[in-house]
This record gives sequence, C-alpha cells and structure tokens, in this order.
Amino acid sequence: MAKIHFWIVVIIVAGFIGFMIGYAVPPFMEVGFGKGQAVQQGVSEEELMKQYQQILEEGGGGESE
Amino acid sequence: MAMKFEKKGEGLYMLDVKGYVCPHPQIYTKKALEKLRSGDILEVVFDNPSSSESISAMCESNGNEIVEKKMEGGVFTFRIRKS
Amino acid sequence: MQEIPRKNKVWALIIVGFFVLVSLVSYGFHEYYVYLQAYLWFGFIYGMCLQYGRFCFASAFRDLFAVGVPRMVVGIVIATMLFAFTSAFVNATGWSTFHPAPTSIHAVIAGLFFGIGMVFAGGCASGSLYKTGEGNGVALMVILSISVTQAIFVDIGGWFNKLVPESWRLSAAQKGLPPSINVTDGWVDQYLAGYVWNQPTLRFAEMLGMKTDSIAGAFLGNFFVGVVLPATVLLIWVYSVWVRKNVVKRAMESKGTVTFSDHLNGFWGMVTSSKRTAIAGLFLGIACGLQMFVIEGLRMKFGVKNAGTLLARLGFDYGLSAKGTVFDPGYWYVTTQEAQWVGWTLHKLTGINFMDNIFFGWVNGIPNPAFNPADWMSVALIGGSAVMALLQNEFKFKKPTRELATWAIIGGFFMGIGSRLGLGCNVGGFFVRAANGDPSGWLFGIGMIGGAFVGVKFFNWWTERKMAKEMAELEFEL
Repeated sequence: MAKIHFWIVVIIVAGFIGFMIGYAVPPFMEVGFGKGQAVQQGVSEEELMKQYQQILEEGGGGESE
Repeated sequence: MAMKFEKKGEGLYMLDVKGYVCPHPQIYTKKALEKLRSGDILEVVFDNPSSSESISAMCESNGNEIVEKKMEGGVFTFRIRKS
Repeated sequence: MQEIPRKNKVWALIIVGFFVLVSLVSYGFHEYYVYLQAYLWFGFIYGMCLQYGRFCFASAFRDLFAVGVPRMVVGIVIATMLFAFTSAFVNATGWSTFHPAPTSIHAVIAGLFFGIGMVFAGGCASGSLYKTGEGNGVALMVILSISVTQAIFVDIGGWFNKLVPESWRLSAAQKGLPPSINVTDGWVDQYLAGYVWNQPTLRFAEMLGMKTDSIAGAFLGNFFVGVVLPATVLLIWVYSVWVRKNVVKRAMESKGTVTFSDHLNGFWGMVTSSKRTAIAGLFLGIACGLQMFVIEGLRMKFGVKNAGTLLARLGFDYGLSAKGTVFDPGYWYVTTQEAQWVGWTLHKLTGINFMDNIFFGWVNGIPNPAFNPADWMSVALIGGSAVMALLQNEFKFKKPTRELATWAIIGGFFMGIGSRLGLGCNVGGFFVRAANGDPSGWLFGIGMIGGAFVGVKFFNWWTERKMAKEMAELEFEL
C-alpha cells in the first residue's frame, strides 16, 4: 500500500465530508436536535407536490425565487 | 484466454486461470486439487484479487499447504502442496 | 510488501483530483450541488471500503457451498451487525432516511433470482461496481446487463400483461395513480400496485410493541432481536456444518479429545477470520449513518424532501417523476440508479415512453444521469475502488472472455429481475434492510442463500466437465 498517497486521499475525502457535515449540522441545531425533542423534518409531501406544480406552471427552469 | 492445466514436471502441475473472475479460480483450484495425488504440487496462476483470499482459506481449512505466494503486477502465483 | 509503481500513485491522485474538480466547479455553479456532492463523496468512501474489504456478497454463500470457505459469509454477517449497530443509533435519533419494504414471500422469490444471478455473474450489484474499479471488464458487463434488464423489465407490458392475475390488476387500478402511469399496462406496475403495496411493512421494533425511533426499539427491537439473534443463529449454522469438523479433526489429532472450549476457540477463529471485511463493514456502517445525517441536514437546510425539488429549482425538470421526485435514498443504494441511466438513455434514443410505469414515472424518475445524485454515487464508488486498487497494486485491466461474458450477461439478467422484484439488490434489499430491523431483508437473504446454492450446483457441474476434458488431454500426452 502506498501509505503517503493513501493518507492524502483520506485527508481529501475527510475534508469534503467535514465540509458537508458542517452544512448539515446547523439545520439540525435549528430543529432542536440534541435537546431531547422529536425532530420535525423538512416539509410535507403535499407541500412538495404544490411546490413542484408551481415550478411547472412557472415554466420549469430557473430559480424559484 | 481459456483455462489451462498442464503437467510441468514430476508431481508438479500448473493451473492457469488468468482472466477468470470469481468463483472460477477457486472452483478450478478445488477440482484440480481433488484430482492430484498426495504430495503433488499445484501451481495456480490467477489475476482475480479476491480469489487469493478464498484459495488461501480453502487450503487452510482442507489442510493443503500453500508453500509459496507471489504477486506481481496483479498476477498471483500460488504453489499448493496437496496433503 | 511490494513497491507500488509510480504510475499507480499518479493515477490515483488524478482520479481523486477529478472528483475534487467536479465538486468545486459544481459548487461554483450553485450551492445546491452540495447535495449531489454528498452522494459523490460517500459513494467514494463506499468504493474504498468495498475494495478494501473485498466485500463480495456473491462469494459469501457461493464460496461456502462451492469450496467450503465460510470467510466471506461470516464477514458479511459481522459487517451486517456492525452496520446495524450504527443504524440503530441513527434510527433512535429519528433522522434515519430508511423506509422498510413490504414483507411477504415475494422477497424470498426475488432473493432466489438475485442469488442465482450473483453466482453466475461472479459479483453482486455493488461488487460489480467496485470490481469495475479494479479494471475488471466482466464486472462492467454485469453492470450493463443489470441496468438494461431492469429498465426494460419495469416497463414491459403487452403480452406480459396476460401473466398478471386479475386480482392484482383490479387492486392496482384502485390505487388512484395518475393516468400518465397507465397502471394496468405493465407487469411490474401491477405487481407493485396490485400486490406488493398491499403487503405489510414491518419492523422488529414495532412487531414487539416498541417504536423504532426510541432507544429501546432501535437497539433492543431492531438491533438485538432483528439482527443479532438471527445473525448468531446463522453463524452457528455455518460453524456446525462447515467449520466444526475441522476443529474436531485438529483437536483429535493434537490431544485426542474435543472440549467445549475448543469449539469456542474454533467459533472465535471463524468470526475473526475476515478482519478486512468486518473493518469495511464497520466503516460502511459509519459512512451510511453519516450520509443519512448529511442528506437529512441538507434537506432541512434547502427546505426539500427529495432531490427532485432541487433539480427542478436548478432548471433540470426533465425526467422527474409525476410527484416531482427522483431516486434519493439518502444512503448506499445501487441498482435503481443503474436502471435509471439506461431508462434515460433508451427514452432519449428510442423515443419509447419509459415514464408510463410506477418505477420510473411515479417514484424514481429518469433524470439526466449527469444530474442524478445516485448516479454520482455509483460513479464515485467505481472511482473510490479504483483508487484503493491502484494504491494496493491490485488494479488490472481485464478483458472479458466469451465464456465469462456469457455468464456476466446471464447473471446480470437474473440480478436485474431479482432486484426489481425485491425492490432492491443485496444491499438495498438485504444488507440495509436487515440492518435496519426490516424482516423483509432477511426474507430476501434466505432467497439469496437458496439462489447461491442453485448457482453453485450448476458451476460445480460445469467446472467438473471442463476439468475432465483438460485432464483427459493431459493423460493422453503422458
């Protein structure tokens, strides 16, 4: 096993994973994860369908802002 | 590339299963060992990495001794003495 | 240990560099691409783990039946337990993205098909991915065969509609699916909506009156009762049939008696015989748990429940399902995205509508593979495996021979059918499900064992025949 190269790869991968965990943690904090409360996740399916219909009606493409 | 089984010398046989993937190298090795006489040496040549572990474990549990293990550029050569 | 050629190291860094570049450039386009990158980098880790652990489901029961080697089956069972432990943790916190599958006999039948296919192909669905990363052309053919089989199987109607029981058809028609799905046309559609969806989804925790998202339910119900107990039974069975006799033989040879502690030592030796696989299983478990966490966090951050919404917001609304969703499991999954890219390609090339079925049209969609999160995972899995193989000097291009290509295509065909019948492959259908306390995972597993047995019977016969021929020629020379 090429040790140094292996560790270079591991560090790069860990860097990206760390970056993404950094993305994921704040929303979890917001919904109160870790305070012993049940986590309320995301949006409901109906809402999603509505959102999607809306995007379709707007003619697809582009941001929904 | 087809599989090859050759006699290389007195009590020395060569099984070439290069190009074969699981499960073929180990099944061929098993079948070949079954055919050999006790004390004969079988030289298995293969290039499927995961077969190396299977063949090692198979020899270990059947009591056949692997006298030599070589690996060069992805090609494995095992010499197995039939117990 | 041998020296690793410089060329290998350079290639390994080039592959990693490519994924880094993709990540940075896509992030430059839009923040949403983080979601796809999560799939990419976790896929990369899965690939590294699989290659390192030589994580070969196909060989598990096959090598046991064919050459009496329990190493891989033990490794997989241990890995399942370790994976289940991290899953129990994720489940207890309530942010698991796992959904149990319907439990019925169909899972056994699906597993049987899959098991036969796995032995023929010489690798399971993920196994073929990581072996492709090792430069194995046969594995690539297996992937092609699985992909094409699935994409066609889920869409096939016409004459095959005649094979659908009337009760399935009626039940499917009542499910209120949109007309675009045309549910009464297509064997798989009616199988899904008319049969599978009517079966109960169970989990060991719920069956024992506990909740999966509680500590007791996750650890006692799903992990202990749902995984540790059946896994232990399986290990004891393997020990008593395949390992015990060697332990007895050795003890008799050395001291003439066999004691209970010999058996304990023998059992322990069996359990620890495949460290690599167990280590890989542990890391896979941790990676899967982390991926669920990251994906769930990103969903909350972006206010979505499925990557389809992100794709639509980015302007890629082609190939989204009628619900606006795409396949987005949030963890390690293999076969669905393989069907998707072929579905997309055939849809584009032939103009045949691949969206008038439940699998693509209602649930998973056929997004452009370039923007399909799960496809990013598969490509990165191959990359991760290639990097690992290069750094261990195990990378080698292997062209398939005609014989192996034939087995690959037949095997891929069986696996394609099996994974669609079972709503998942050995990973999505067995490994992840069993580890999450879903009994249908074990049913699929039982089917796989049976399938492996059938496949091995065939190959034993075949090999015997070929060896006899070679040996006959040899005798002739002597």
